[in-house]
Amino acid sequence: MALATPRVRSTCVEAQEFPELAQRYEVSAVPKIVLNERIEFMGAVPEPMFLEAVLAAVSEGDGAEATGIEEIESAAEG
Amino acid sequence: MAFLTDTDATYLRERFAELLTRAVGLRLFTEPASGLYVPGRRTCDTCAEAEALMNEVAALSDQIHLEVVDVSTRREEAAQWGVTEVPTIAVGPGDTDAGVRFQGLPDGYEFTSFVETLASAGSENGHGLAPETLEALASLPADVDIKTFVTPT
Repeated sequence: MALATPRVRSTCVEAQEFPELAQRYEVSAVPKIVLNERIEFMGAVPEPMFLEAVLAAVSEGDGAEATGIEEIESAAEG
Repeated sequence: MAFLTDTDATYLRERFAELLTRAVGLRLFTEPASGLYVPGRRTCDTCAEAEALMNEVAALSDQIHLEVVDVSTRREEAAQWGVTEVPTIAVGPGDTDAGVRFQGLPDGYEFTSFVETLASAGSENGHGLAPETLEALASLPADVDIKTFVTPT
């Protein structure tokens, strides 16, 4: 996505080499993905779901975070 | 010690020849050990390995251009690229900043993601995203920062 638009930046962090960062973002399992410091989820998800999380990350309002996480987690389980 | 076996190198050389249709820039931000122990100052444990690995990768295709940036002497450039930790590798088409970073040594399973990203950057529409996704991304109202935490195993 970062390659497709200048709006998106993507950093892949090696958690063992940067324990302070891993701790700050409460990484207990990998891969863990954090979007704009407000949406987070574990594991690889299909493209449409990832896009949904990206859109939730830039949406206004407090509800976005909870909705984004819930939607992704329940879908990943099912 | 070489990271890539001869078999890996041969395979990757062939794949890159096929996939890379334009130049790809690898910019490695590093801070080589000074040989001097300074209390309180962190040393970069994987910078030397990262540089060795990047040299091996860059040797696999003429389309891959490696630039090694020593942040201790080129701080401004590191700041410009938003690099706060070493080693960090920026991957992008040509010499542009596509906002793609690998923080830490991309070895183990991470190496696969790294190679895939490199291949994506090296071809037009290499991102492989669906038209609907591209449409939605084109109208994003704000910037999005994605951090993906991984481990090599």
